[in-house]
Amino acid sequence: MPFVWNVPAASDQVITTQPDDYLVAINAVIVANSGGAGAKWEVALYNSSSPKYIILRRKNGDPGRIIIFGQNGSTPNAAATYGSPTASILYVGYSATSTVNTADASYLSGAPLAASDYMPGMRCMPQAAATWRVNYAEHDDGVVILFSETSNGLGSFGAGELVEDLAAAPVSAVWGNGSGSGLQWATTNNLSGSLIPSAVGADASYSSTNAGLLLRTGGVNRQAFRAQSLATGVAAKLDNLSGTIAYFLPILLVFHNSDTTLNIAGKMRQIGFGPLCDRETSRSGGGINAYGHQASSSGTADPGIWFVDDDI
Amino acid sequence: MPAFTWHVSAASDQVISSNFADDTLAAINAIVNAGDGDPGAVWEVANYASTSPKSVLLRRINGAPGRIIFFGQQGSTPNAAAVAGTAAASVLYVGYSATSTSNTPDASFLSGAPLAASDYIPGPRCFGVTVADTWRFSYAEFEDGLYVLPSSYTQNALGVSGAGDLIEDIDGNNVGACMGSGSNNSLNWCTTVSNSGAIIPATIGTGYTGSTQAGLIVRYGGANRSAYRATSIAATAILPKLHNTTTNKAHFLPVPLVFDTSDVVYSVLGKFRQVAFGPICRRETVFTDADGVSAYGHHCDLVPSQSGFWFVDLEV
Repeated sequence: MPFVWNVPAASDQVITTQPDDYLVAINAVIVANSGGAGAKWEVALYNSSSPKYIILRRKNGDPGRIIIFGQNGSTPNAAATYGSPTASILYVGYSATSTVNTADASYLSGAPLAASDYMPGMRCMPQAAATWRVNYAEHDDGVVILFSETSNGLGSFGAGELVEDLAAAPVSAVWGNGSGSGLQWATTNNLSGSLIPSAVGADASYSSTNAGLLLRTGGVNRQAFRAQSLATGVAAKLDNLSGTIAYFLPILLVFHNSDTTLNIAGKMRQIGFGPLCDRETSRSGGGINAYGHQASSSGTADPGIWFVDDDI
Repeated sequence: MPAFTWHVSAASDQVISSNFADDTLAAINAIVNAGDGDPGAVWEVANYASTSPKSVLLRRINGAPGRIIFFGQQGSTPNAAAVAGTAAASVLYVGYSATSTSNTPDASFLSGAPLAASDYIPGPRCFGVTVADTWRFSYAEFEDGLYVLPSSYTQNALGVSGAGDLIEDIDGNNVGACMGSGSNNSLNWCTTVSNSGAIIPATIGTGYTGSTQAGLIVRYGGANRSAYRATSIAATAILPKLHNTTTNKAHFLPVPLVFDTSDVVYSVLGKFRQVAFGPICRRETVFTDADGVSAYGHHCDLVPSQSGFWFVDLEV
């Protein structure tokens, strides 16, 4: 059964000190919007002093916590992050079962959420001081946060049950776009960028600078990879030029693990390849809404990342 | 749409001389005649014209309308109405009509369209079988269509050409199509590990123009349109991930399509019906997974290293 994305209004936020100001911006935007109709997640705690972090919880009271953490000049503990931790970087982590509203342990000394299903943080922010447009897309099971800036690209990261397996069962995920300052999803028209990496590597090869998608299946955290790329020029065809119909293609995934049991994890849940778009593009057709995001505020050079209110 | 079961014929070695088009027609006639008595066989030869104008006309064994025609002749050039793009001499083409009930070509392909039905889909060049050698032929068929698969390990080549309702649109409706792997002598589907080859073109163009191109022509909204593959396998390393060797599960990825139109209204056409990207394989690979689902993979490498062209007995 498809869900409906909630995409609140965007807000311009000045980023100077990294990553502290990112936390300030995320807190501001979610606090401003979490009281709105259709809002799904809210800030459980914004800890603005060391160790700095934001915990997000479901408004309906269900278990599950997203933690966004990082601090200028500080390096997280290795248990807090996937891959080698780096100083002054923002990470996102997730627990599907946690019910705590504060970090159980400082990410500077351990994992920030002590739940046994804690998914360690993926690096999740571009690196540029600028005024960034900040918004997010959320549903009952997850949140994707979007920072866009016309010169520096689009950062996308999120956590929750953002993936589904072949049986359409939700799969927990954390997703970060790594260290690139550009929109890695769409820096080329064939989407060969690495917001969701397609170059399958050993888990051990993941470094904190990579973009990455981490899944939790079978009680294990596993790195996932994008199985298909959009062919050159196709994005322009994903639009009916009458402007009423857009088409979306699923983002199929395979995942890697160390026990040589290979499988397809499935696909992103209602997140797809889509037409060329501006940032904060909203489309409606046949009673179905979709929300496109990319870095440009005026161009349509790249396909966007699309959140679709229907199964794809 | 319920999944159907492919019938994949036994393979047969056929000697192809320098009369490529003529001999390839003879080979298609031979293998379909040999396979049409198999359990699960769907199509049979309605007419094999071995003298000018040469063609093999296929019909459904159950008598339902619809005709597939392979045609071409050494030294002769078809009429423009018979083919998609510019016609070339000594080349084999495939055409299709979803409604024809004719058991002989309605008009010579040298002077008109080989099937006169108003829904005739002129096809692209079928294969790159242009080297005199012994080629392995087989075919895969289902109720609504048929693919012929010539291959050669010595030439490191595989061609794929088919016709019928091979495609479904985004709403699950069947779509008539003709496809051919063009003039290249190798399997374009797999010549690059990223599957960026052109057995189904992935680079959007202005429509199928040439006899040497691989192509996919679909009939949609009463018009014949060129179609393009919308995605490629993202990276070489994805391919080994499409087979779980521990549980004997293979995974197949759909081949989504977009089509090009002259009226600048673009649409996603849909995808191939149960034809998919799949694991690394050799030709004539029969795979049955742990759940009893069968699939049939084809590729030209003697030592398999790249993604095959897979026919899957399951919706993909």
